[in-house]
Amino acid sequence: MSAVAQRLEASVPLLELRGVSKEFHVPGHRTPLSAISDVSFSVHDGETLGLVGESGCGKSTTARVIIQAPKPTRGQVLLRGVDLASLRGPALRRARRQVQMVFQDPYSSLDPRWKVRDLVAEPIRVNHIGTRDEQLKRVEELLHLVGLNPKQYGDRRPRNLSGGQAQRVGIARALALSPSLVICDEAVSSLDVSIRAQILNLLEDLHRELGLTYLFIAHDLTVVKHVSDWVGVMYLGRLSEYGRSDVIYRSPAHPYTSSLLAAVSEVPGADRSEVGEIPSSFSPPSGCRYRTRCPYAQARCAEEVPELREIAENHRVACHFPLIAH
Amino acid sequence: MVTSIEGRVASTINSVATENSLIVDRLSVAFNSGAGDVYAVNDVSLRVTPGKTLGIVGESGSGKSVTVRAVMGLLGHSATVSGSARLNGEELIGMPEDQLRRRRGIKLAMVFQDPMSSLNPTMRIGSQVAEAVRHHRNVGRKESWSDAVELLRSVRVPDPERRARDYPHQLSGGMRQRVMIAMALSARPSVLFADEPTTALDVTTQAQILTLLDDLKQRYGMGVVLITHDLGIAARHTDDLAVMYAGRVVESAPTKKLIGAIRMPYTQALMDAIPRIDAPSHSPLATIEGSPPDPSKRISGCAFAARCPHVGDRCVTTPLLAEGEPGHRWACWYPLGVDT
Repeated sequence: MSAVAQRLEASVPLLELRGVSKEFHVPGHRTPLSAISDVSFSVHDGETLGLVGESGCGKSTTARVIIQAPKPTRGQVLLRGVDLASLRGPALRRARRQVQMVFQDPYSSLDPRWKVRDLVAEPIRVNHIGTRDEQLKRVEELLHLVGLNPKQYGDRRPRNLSGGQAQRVGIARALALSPSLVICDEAVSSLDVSIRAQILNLLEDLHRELGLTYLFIAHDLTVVKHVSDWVGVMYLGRLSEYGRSDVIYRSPAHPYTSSLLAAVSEVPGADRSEVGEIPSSFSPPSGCRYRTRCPYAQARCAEEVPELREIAENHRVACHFPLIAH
Repeated sequence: MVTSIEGRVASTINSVATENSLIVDRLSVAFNSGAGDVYAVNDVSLRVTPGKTLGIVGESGSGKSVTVRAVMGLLGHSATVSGSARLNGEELIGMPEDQLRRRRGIKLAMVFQDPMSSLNPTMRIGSQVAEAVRHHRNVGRKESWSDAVELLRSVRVPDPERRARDYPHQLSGGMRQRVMIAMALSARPSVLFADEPTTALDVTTQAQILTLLDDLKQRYGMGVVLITHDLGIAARHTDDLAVMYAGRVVESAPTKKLIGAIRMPYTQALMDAIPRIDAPSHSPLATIEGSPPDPSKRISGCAFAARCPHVGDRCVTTPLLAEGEPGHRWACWYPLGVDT
């Protein structure tokens, strides 16, 4: 690869979303459900973007439209600058291999009748990679990589694994095709504190050893802080704040981010006022979607949708009245 | 049954001193599985005081849920329960099922992790709460409905008159958990057990539900038992703490005291495993190496020894839970910050 091509590769983000929206038509509802609206962000090689928000904010839908299951209603998902919607057949399959997912509940994403060895081998076999011996070798390698001794665990079935071990198998499956991007969708949310720490450390080790790039989706801000270089905060289908993780956690500009941080704050008596419920995605509030729960909402917030605008270097916020002006 | 005069006197004194307290004394639970007995809970003693929250903290399999299910009488016939659990001086262990069922409604209530699976999806939530009210009080439909609305209001369901007509699927996870708490409150229980009540919820909702439990225990003077794997949550929302490992209580004290001076290395390990919001990104987390022991095997010595960074010669002998400082008990030969 020439120096120019190398530099070009470095400047093209591994993943980029441009104005991505997804609507679902739900029986019994006249208006479509707007799961995500106009979401744009990019993830560069070797970096981790954490996506946080409450249930129903659209973070999992974002993950799904990235892997084109389902395709977005509007907007583009680009993998290394190539629009996934423009790809067909083998080219699309190759591109999809680059992106793998780790799910929340390891037990329900693993076939209970299969042995660990076969579960990890499945993606390799489906894609006809290597000879049978090479496949077996690769499975052993993957199990070692996620900290499972193949001799001890290779022939077990999911029910004979602990939650942490099952999640390790899920990670090994995701790594089987040597992806560039791994999407972790609440991958540690259902684990015990002690097991969660082990899996988070494993993900960080893999990130360093394999140069993996993560899109890390979670509702727990503390966990996201731990793994992320960049953070995107979603509310009711929109990105409300986006920036370098240290900046966002130090000086959140969106009132929603601030309330999320207060909820996990160690400081007793921090603002944990009852901020009400997320409105329905069928009829989101006009203007700023957060205004119905926002203590700082004014008339303008009902009239005008706040754009995600840059308020400082590496810091964008969608709010008419951000908490800090830098 | 207490028959002797001395026994009756002792029992009376006991009940005066312990009004509405739940005292669990040396409770053990063994499950008879096909492959031999599994010792899930060993010699657990706890005390739940009215108006206070006791946190029981431990990993999956530590015996925390089995302990409260044994007290509630919810374990099946494969469980052998020994020891004592007295509410208001009255022994619950071994109480006939029909009597226990009455106590369960009136005195002891429970809220589970997943509210959706505990609610009837085909009934309006108001009807479900009203049904719980009628179960405990002899009132008509109209009155029980208005009681239900008031209960929903007390757990801060907004616009309860309207929301009472909703079905469970129309509510968010946090609202469903509030409905479960309303049902649990319908009989004004002395003790409310909450088994990982916020694990399935978002952070914002978690904080709201835990704050609600804090308020309710004070308003109704009821004891709350909060079961969680997250020592961080327990530290913020309990008055007393009991840390369980491999079926035993390994450290217990008033929460402030315990968090201020953790003695048992296992408790410290649980604390260190919690990601901190003020730690820099990508800093490695402390983990507890290995996994908890197999409960089907009797362990000699300290059950945590195999994973403990401070293990020493004496750990081959089982350490007993003993008061090392006033009000602070631990089961460890080499407690942290104490010269031994």
